[in-house]
Amino acid sequence: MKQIVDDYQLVEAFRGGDEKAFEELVRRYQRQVANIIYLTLGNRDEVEDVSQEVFIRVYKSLAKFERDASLYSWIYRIVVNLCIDEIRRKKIKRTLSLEFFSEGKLEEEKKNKSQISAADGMLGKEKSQVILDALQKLSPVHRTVIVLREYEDLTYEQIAKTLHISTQAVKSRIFRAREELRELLKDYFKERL
Amino acid sequence: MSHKYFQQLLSSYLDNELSADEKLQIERHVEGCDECKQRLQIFHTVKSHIHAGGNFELSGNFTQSVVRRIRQEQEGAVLWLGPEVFARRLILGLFIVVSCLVGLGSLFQPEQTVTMDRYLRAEHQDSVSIQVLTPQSEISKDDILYAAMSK
Repeated sequence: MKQIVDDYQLVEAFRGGDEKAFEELVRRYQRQVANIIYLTLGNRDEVEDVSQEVFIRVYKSLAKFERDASLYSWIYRIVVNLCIDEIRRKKIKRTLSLEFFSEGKLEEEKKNKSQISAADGMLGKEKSQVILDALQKLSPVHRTVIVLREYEDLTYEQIAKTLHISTQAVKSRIFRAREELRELLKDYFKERL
Repeated sequence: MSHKYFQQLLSSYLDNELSADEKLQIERHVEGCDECKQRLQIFHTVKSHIHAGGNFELSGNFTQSVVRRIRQEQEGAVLWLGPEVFARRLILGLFIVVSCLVGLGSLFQPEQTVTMDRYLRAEHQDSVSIQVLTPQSEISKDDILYAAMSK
């Protein structure tokens, strides 16, 4: 509770012209923001840039922040929206670049991928990495909801408030995301459980 | 209750979102169901690995980098404000110059006489005015006065 009061005080101080209050907010949330981005995008190289973008958006819209929401859910919503935009942008970019691939090149790529995954299996790739890779195969909507649940430990109600959806929708998305992950990891876990 | 029913509740059970009664039912079912036991185990493993997977550390000067980027964007906005203000003032200046030129131009135009023939032909059908005011001709005030007095 104290944390929430402090957040509001920082927001008020920032609105009153105290730039240091904003810096404190960045320090307070940067770790969670970076990890949600990392787990959702699955690429370490992008985390720093996207995290900066999140806080720039926070800075620009903090004047519009209303007290009826908690600051973390407001910030997480910015993170989730930015991640979904980023995933969609990358998808478009990948689709466009694939159009230039010749049939032979596509075949070669498929062959390389299967060789890599076979080698990974033989080398006993870290379970975490396999799970995080599977996570990247989920749709952006399922991915963000499962990250907020599993990493941030938010309740269904908190996730619903953050994403502006019903708790029933949260429950159903989490269920589907878990089922999808289980399906993706079925073969991997067959020998390891 | 069916096996499928319990399967669907496993996710909520894992998230501690069930009532005490439902929890107890699930636990009893899982105890005797290998499939559900395995499903729950996978969910647990995935959960713990995603939780542990969030170990990303940002650079030590992250806050300063954010502040720097904000400053850069603000400076960029100020720099952009210059040409924008200049353009606005240029448009306003041009408007004033054009308005002045039009005003001055009208001052130096020769005095225009009034063409009244159409009006007089429509309203005054008497022969005198027709006679005095020939069609399409330009008339002066004196012509009008003369025409009126002749009537």
